[in-house]
Amino acid sequence: MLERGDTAGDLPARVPRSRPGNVRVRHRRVPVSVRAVATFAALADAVETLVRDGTVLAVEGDPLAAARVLLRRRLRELTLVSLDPGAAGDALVGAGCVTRLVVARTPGARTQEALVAGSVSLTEHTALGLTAGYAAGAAGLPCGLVGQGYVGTDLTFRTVRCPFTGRDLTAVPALTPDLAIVHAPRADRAGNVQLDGVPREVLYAAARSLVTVDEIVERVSGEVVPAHVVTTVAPAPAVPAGDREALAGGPARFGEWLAGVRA
Amino acid sequence: MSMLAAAARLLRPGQVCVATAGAPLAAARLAQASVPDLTVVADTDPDLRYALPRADVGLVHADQVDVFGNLNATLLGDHAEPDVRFAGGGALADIAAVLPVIVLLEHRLAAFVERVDFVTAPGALSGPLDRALVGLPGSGPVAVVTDLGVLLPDPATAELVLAELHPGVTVEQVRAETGWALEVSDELVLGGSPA
Repeated sequence: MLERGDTAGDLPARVPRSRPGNVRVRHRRVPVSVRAVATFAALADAVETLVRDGTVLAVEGDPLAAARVLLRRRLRELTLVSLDPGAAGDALVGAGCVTRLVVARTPGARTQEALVAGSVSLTEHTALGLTAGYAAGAAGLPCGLVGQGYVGTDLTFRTVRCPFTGRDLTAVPALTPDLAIVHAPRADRAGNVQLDGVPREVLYAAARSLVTVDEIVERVSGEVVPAHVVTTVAPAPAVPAGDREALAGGPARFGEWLAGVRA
Repeated sequence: MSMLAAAARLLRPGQVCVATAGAPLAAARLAQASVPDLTVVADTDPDLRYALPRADVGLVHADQVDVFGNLNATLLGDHAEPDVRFAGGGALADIAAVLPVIVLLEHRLAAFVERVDFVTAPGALSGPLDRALVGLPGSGPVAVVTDLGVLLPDPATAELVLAELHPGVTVEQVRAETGWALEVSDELVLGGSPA
């Protein structure tokens, strides 16, 4: 089991912190972060620690390497929350690991088949609605608000009236996943994470988070989420070259691929 | 004129365009080559909610469009027990609710229907006054660009009418691929208008 502050043996060690009174800080990493408590772990260990049958799991940034580990562990009855489940989410649905989807998109062939077959339940949001749900969860509010995205559509939604303007707004329940698994390009040695195309709110909304990264670098820049928000950073093992092609293929190809992953 | 070029031609200098992935984003990028100061925001931008109120136009794809420009990217058949599931709306409804949108899709009978199976994103709903009644700004899609031509909404009825034919395409050809009694604009443009 991983504890906060643990370091996996062959992974980059934590950078020593400057001590109180040591005023000569040579480089500040992330202005908002004053403590770094993310743990580094190997992906398989992190998944074993963080995911159980029935976990409400947000996936963003298409974490396919993490999905391979989840598939090997044959997890069941996951709820998948995502703006776009990607190939990772689609593989989990196709393997029967998922019973409920809370999503804004359903691009995967296996997800579409499961929805037609009725083997997974679905709560659909617009992209802004789902993001507002994450933001509300992150802020500890019971619901998030969006202006007009659901109005006039066949989506199911509820409204509240603005007490200041009288305008009707769509209310989206807060999303507070048990765990967020996010793929990001890089993290620094303290566990500050640089995101690419993923809303940072998902990491704040989830009770715990696992961020898989392509590389660990000295400094991160751009859209950075501070280490104290991140439970575990795991370097993402390279995904075999044929994976995405296999996942874009038909049922037979997928079955073959899944058997290979689980072998 | 290709479908992408026909859509790109509708974007104006200085506009901020929100485009959905695939052909719309490709058309927006194509337009950037010739339209000065055109800003393109992808619908997957995590800050889309802040970009939308500042944007001028949306460029989107749908799987089905109806006579009132309502868009379906969700399913075919019964809502609870669908026959087909599509990729889902994503930000489509968020965009179409607040921006004038240009819709980009292949002109096929299965996609051009009298009434969409599922309203993923609102067009004019059922008539010219409907959007205002439910509190939506604007009047629905401003253009539907296909591989056969361009449909524009008739301001009086909010129904999409044929306004432009791509080179070599006939009115009969478009009508054969349209699932409602398609009207033809009095000012029908043949073979693509000048840029």
